[in-house]
Amino acid sequence: MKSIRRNVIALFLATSLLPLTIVLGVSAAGILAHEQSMRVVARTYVQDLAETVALRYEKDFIMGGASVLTPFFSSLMDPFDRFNLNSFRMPGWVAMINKDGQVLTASPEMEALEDLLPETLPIGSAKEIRGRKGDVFTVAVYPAGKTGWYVLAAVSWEHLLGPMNRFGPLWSFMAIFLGGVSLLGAVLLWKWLVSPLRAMENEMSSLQWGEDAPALCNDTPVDEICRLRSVFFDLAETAIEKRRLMERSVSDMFRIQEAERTHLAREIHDGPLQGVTAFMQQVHLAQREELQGEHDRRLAMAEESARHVVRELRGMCDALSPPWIDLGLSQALTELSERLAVQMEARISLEIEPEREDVPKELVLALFRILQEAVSNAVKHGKAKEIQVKWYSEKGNYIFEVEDNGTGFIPPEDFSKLQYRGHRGLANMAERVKLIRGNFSIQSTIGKGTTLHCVFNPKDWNLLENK
Amino acid sequence: MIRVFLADDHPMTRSGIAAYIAKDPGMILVGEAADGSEAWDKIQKLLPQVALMDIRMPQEDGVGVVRKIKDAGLPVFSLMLSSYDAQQYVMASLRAGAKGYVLKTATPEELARAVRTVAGGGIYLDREISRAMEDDYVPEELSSREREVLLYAAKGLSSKQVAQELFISDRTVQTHLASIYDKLGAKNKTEAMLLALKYGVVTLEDLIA
Repeated sequence: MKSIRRNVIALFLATSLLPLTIVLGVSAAGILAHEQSMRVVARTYVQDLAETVALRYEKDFIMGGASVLTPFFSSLMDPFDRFNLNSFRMPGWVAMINKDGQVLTASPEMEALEDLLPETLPIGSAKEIRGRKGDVFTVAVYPAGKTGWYVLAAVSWEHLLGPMNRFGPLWSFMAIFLGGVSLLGAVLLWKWLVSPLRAMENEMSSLQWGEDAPALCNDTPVDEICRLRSVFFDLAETAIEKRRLMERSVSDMFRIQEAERTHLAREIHDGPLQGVTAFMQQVHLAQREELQGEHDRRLAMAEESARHVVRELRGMCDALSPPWIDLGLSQALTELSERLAVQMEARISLEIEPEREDVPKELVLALFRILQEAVSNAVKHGKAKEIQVKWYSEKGNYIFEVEDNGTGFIPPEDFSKLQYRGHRGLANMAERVKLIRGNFSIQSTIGKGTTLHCVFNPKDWNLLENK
Repeated sequence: MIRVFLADDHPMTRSGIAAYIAKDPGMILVGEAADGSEAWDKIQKLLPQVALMDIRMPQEDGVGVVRKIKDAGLPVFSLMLSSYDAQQYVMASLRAGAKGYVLKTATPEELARAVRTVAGGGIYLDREISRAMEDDYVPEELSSREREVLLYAAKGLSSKQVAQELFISDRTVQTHLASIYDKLGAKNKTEAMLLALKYGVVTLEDLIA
């Protein structure tokens, strides 16, 4: 399934601002609809009230006779008191007004409303007016038949609708309050999460890997952002460290290369170059020799010089890259230990059991160099006389071990530190073993000797050859 | 008989050179040394006419010993004996006070000529170093301006600096140098200096003053 990625602003809008807007919009619509329905109810009520009173009044008027005021007064004497406006029990108030708007009689509460009444009132329809304390009334005027008088009816929303009127605004306040809280939440969400996240994204994408590190946790109050920053920081630091190591190893490589070349040039100068010079000198001398015996002696010396040069060159070739390494682990190590024994004047015993044909060449070369270095260290620094070299298998691994009876030393904890103190030998051996995926360790006791221990797993050999 | 001293750390080449000297009736080997400090000790005592000096030796190199001889004002002519043919080595040796430079592969006759030349107060440079010209080749004479340019150049001044010293333009200096190279058969400044020395166009004193 294809996943769709959205950026954080879209998510922010979708999850935070959009619902907020909808809530506020619906709330506003609800408040308006509520108000509208209350208005309709109040108007209908007031109109009905006015109409009912007007009809009653007209009926009484027809029944009562001449006096304009009679119907009203007679109604006061009505045993059922139907027209006593004082004892009007339904919500709402009524008043009688003449066509000039003068109030003739009214229920008591109506008096309070008198000065609020507008100049003109539409006849037959209802209208809202607002009281001094913000309370709302709906009023309506109806003609009382042919009497020429009018019935003015009013109702307070508070009386008519009670809780609906009171809690309607409360509900809207709640909605606005909630909206406000949500808005605050959205602002904080933006400030603490969305904005730092975007800033971090910007910062990370402009970083130069291996050179820059991002700023560590700033004053963000969000723990996860802080931790994310420190994770990035650690990664960037690791990359920087890695690059430094890389540069250092490259410069080490160049230095070693130069040192090798200098060494080689010196070897050639002091060895074969002098030998060939001596050869030429003897030839020069022989050419100028008249005595046969002297002549032959000079030629023999020239030949000896040449032979010497050949030996030196051969030795140099062997030292540079021994051709017999191709013969395999056993032969290569045997050849080397025999040569080293002569060269270093030490007894070297070699045990290779079991032999394996499939030991990679890289490994043979590495063991070759390690043995060379180990024997040289043992004899030069440890004054060792006897060295035991072993290759054996143990628990599916192969172990290469070089043990000497030299003076021993205190092995360093970190081999890589050695190379900065000019002792490359051990560091090189450790590096070399690591490169061919082996495990290098060294045990040494002062006065007893030193043992190098390299462990290899044959499962790694395929990887070596594929490299 | 010219009294000769030989310093070289390689026994084989030392014995070869010793045999050359022994063969020559005009020379006698008065002493040998295998390193620089031994050479300096023995030279002070033996005071040979000519000291054959290897450049690369243990303890102290040949150029250093030659400088000591010059600084001490010993009546010893130093002749470098080396496997290196770098012209800069030759210049360094001459500046240190050597009177000649001969390669170890030289024939007995060449070595004898070198020793005799140096013993006679001359300058000897191996022909492998100042490229093969006839030994008695007489180059076209340098003008006095060219000679001046060459001497300033020998002191290590750049063309621009030479131009400033002589109040001439950079291009004129280049023209003079080209003419010098042409007359001496040199390919570069160092070779021009060495060849000028060899042909006696300039003296060693002029060159390293």
